[in-house]
Amino acid sequence: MTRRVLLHVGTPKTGTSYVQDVLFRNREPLAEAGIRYPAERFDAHFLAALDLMNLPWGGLESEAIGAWDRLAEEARSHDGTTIISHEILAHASPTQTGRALESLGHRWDAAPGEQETEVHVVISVRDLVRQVPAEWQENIKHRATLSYGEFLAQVRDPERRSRVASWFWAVQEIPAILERWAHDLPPEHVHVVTVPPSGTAPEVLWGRFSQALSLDGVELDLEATRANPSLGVPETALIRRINRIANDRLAPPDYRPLIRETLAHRTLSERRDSPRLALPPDAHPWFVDVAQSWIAVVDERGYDVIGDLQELVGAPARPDYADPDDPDPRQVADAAVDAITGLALEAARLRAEEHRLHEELAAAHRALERSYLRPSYRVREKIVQLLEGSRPGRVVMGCYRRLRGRNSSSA
Amino acid sequence: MTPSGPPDEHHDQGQQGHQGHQGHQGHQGLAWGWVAALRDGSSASWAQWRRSGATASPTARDLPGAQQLELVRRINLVGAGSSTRADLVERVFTASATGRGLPERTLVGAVPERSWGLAPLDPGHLSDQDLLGVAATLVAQDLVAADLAARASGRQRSVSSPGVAVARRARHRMLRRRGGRQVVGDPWLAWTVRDELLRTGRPLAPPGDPGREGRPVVVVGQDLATMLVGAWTARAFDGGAPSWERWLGSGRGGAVPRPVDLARVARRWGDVVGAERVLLAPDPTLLPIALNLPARARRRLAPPYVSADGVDLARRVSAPLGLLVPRHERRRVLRRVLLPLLRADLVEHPSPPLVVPDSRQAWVVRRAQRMRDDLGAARYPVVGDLQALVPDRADHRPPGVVPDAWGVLGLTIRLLLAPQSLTSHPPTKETTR
Repeated sequence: MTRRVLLHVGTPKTGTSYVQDVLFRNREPLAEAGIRYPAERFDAHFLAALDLMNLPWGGLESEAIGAWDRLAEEARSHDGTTIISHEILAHASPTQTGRALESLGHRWDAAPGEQETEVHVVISVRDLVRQVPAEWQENIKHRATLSYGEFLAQVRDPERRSRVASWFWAVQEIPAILERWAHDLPPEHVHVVTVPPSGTAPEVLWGRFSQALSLDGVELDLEATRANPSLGVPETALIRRINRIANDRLAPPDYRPLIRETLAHRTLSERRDSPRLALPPDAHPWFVDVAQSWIAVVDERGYDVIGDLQELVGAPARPDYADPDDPDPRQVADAAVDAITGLALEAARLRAEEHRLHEELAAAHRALERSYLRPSYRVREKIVQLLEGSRPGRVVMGCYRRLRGRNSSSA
Repeated sequence: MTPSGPPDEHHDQGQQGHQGHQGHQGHQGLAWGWVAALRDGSSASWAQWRRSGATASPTARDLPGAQQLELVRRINLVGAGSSTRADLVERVFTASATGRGLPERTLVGAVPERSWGLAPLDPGHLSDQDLLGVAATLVAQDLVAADLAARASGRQRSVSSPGVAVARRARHRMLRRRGGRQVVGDPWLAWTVRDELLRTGRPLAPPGDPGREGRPVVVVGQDLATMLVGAWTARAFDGGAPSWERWLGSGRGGAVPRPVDLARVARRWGDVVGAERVLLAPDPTLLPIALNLPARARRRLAPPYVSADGVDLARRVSAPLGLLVPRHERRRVLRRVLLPLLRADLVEHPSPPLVVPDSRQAWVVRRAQRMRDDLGAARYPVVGDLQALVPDRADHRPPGVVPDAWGVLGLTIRLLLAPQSLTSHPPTKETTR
């Protein structure tokens, strides 16, 4: 069997969380079909990507030490197809992509037939009309406070001096990502999956992924358990205002569960009627021009396109554009009411949990007291007191404790 | 792969895009020729090399980035005769910077014109700051290697050997059980004092513990300008400090950063143990009296000197180091491995200390006067004079500087070229900590 690695390298916000969730939950049926998704935890490839790219990530990086080499070793040890997937791999530099490919068994100076491993690069791509606001929103959900206007200005800066711009283009600029990952691969080993327009049935995108990752014909459980839901204009504006006030006072370990998970993902993302984030009409043509130039490059390189490159142009500018830097105050107030309700419900859940733990602790105390009252405990206590009162007794107790193998001085 | 000959080493006047007559492959060959020359020790700039036309075949999948190539050139400029240069150059060619904001740049003239991506550039136009991203990553790798080598050789037994570590912990527990004292305040000075107390076997309360009843909680300090320098130094050697300027302005409403706010520290401890048990020691020359130590201990209570560039290097190295060792190990590696290397470098390359910039001097004096008055009003016991907290503008101190990327890069390259950086580091008093 040919050793093959399918390396899904991005881009963010293209349904990657769903794909990774399906792959992780279906490791067994995949293995039966000779396809390996080597992961002990759902974010295993995220840690490997952090390790490969020397990326600090809120303390997670210390869990990532050596993760890429372990992943590559697993891929090399499997005589069949291995799938590796994480969207931040799009950020990898040429040096890092070279190292990654080599670690998987791809040699830059070997002929295609002489490769130890047949590496395929898969990239899923979505139009900038949706990707730009989605990236800003993702920044806001990671404690950022910059306005949408500032974000757009930084992204359009030709020097890309800011961290925001540097990251945005590193993970979104399709020709550059493909150049870094795949310039020495045969074009038929490079698979570009386009994300269909909004409103298309979800099965269409999954069908494209299934084709790119050679999953057609494998029986998989496709029920989604993990998704990255999006927010509307007033909801994102609200989170940004919260960030401005709370960032100094809320530590990252608290921000993640309270603001990002409880507030953004579980409460505010449920609000469907508020206006959606979009590109401002004056910026729309600039990003469409960029997309057109990318389409020409990808088309010219002759990659295996699954979907339609023209989908990268995106939807036309919205006549009803809502500016998140100047949101409707009533809509923000409505979102804030939902936010307070959501946080109050979470506080109630935590209070119930606290009450349960108090009860558990009280039960433990009562059990401990009962054990103290047993006659056998009293006898043992008297013996210990007697022995501790004399030097030979203390020696005996020392021997006893050593034999027990642990400190029982409190007994 | 030796190219057909290096160009003259004359100064480049800077020009781009004049090689239009050559194709993309020819330009790539030219770039690989430069790589080969750099590998052989050339210090020719890319602009000079482009004029020479010497080419070579590729030796890797991708050309190294502009940052890596320029860093190698800088290394060759100062380390041409160094025995470690060749290995270091190979490491630089395959190194990546740490973090989100540092994309590898392509070489102008080595890639065809295209409508996407960051514009290629001449590596000579990169700033020292751009090169430090890669260089700091390599220093972090060297520190980990040096730490492992020291452990293997047994020179850092107190850290490495499980038996010795257990004995040390037991000794510290014993010292603390006997009822130690608590030393807080200026972070860099307090760290030195605590280290010295432990080294000489004096009981010390663990962090957060007020110590034995009757013993004072000693709040150590010195003039506020020096304390600010020390606090940022301590933060840099803990890992994860912002830049000097940003940190100076991090206090709310123009306040001093919290670690050096002695009034807050004293108030907090006063709430725990009572104001009469908080002993202020604002004058380092009187520390032996405050700590009940012999006068000869004064010299050992002085914090280790680190240059401005050295502190900034520690700050920059901490991020990549955090990717190589667990967080709790990072502080130990920075203080026990990097700090001695920096101090050894000072022997041959004296470098000025860090100072508060002139633009902030008046603010420091105002804040120090306020701190002096607040502490005086609270009537804590004091060894010395609280006026020692106020920097004396007439004080003739050696001139200091703020960190400078050029100086930090020079120091970084010296450390990377130093033969001991890969395998060992000198033992220090910190090994007893």
